[in-house]
Amino acid sequence: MNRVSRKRGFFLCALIIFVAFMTDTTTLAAPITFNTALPVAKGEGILRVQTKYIRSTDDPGPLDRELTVRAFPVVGVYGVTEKLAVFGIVPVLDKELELDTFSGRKTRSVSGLGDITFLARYTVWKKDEPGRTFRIAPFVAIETPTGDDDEKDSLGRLPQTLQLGSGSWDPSIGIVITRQTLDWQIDASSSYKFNIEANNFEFGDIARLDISYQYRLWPRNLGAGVPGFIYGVLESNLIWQDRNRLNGMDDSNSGGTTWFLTPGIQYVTKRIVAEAAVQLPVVQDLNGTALKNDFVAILSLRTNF
Amino acid sequence: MKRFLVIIFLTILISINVSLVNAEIGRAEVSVVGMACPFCAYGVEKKLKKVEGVGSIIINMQEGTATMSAKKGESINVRQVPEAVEDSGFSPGEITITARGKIKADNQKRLLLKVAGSKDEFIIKEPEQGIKKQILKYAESGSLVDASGVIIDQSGRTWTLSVGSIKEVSR
Repeated sequence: MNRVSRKRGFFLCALIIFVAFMTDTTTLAAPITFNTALPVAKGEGILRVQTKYIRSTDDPGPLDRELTVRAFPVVGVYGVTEKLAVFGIVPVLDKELELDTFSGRKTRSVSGLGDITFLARYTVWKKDEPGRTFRIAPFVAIETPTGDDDEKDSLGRLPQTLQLGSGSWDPSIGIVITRQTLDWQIDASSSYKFNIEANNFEFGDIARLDISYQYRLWPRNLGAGVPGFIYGVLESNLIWQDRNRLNGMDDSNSGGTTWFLTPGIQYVTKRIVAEAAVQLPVVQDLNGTALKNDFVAILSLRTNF
Repeated sequence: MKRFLVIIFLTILISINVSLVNAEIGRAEVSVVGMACPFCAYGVEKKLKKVEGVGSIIINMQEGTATMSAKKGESINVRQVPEAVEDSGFSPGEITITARGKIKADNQKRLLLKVAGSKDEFIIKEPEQGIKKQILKYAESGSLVDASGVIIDQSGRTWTLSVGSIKEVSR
């Protein structure tokens, strides 16, 4: 492999920090970008469909990379008991990377099913009071290698960043705490994802600290019945990713820390939650020439059934 | 023979009438502790709808309550209500009922509200002076009454009811 190809390889690999956590689909429920500890009734279910538009064009390297990812995660949730809820997260992905090559500007793209994640969340402690609740719920997850990890195009095998799947079984652990009143809600979550090697490649592990504040904007005063609520939402997503490893060697152009601030809005009724948010990177301390994020736009709909 | 058949017919008619008049636990309200958003309220509603005898439910977010009305001719099985609320993920609080039945004294000289049309019965907590006279009067007369009150003790086979109001059912 010549020096230019190796360099290009490293630049492409530097996308991973962005793509991996941007398509992390363990995010759902009352906060828009991550999980909540609120209960799912025993024997009942929730369906969530999302559309995420991820754009990244801030390339510190020479290839002028522009990455666009459209993700459509579908999430099914089931209350096994009033304390134990299980989740299945099925991502459908469309990834497109534009970059400069020796033969001009090229586009490499792929679409299809990504890696399906299964998650279990258990409420270990709760305190219910009139009109408010406080809960603590640890969770575990496993991302399964259902997405294709050997996609090719006219230029050959797509880089690992652009593959639909990682090829590995990647477990996560975490804990979420929720405090909800009739007027506002705060959720805080901490999680760690262990990325496992596959195809001689290992994505860096990911640690996250997420906080969400939701405030009821309307109605200002509650009357009888169950009115629809409109919440203003502000979330903070602090994400650290370790360096990737290629053939056992650290990739110095990968990994780093990103802090997003995420304003959003939710409309909540008994049967549905409709929500929109945009993740804006306020701090990006990425290693080497890792591709930086512009923004992530999210639309989501949840329904009880 | 004709007279016999008429008697049988009238007896059947009276029995039907009695069972229709002897309505039961027609209304129950439970405090759902911890419920604070509309999306969560749906899970509460679905669980309470599965309680025997429940026809319709009105949730009040501000008050944190679920008010159940019985299906026509049926009685709400209030003993299933606490578990239904727990299955929804929240904590059951106070339960208030409106029941039709008769006041009787048991062999331990406790006053019981025997719910009409069912085997359900509630121990009546030592009533306040104001209402005690009324309750004793209805116990003595054996009148059919509508009683409303708060269930204050759910332990044991027979729950305890604190009666807040009671009135004779008009004939």
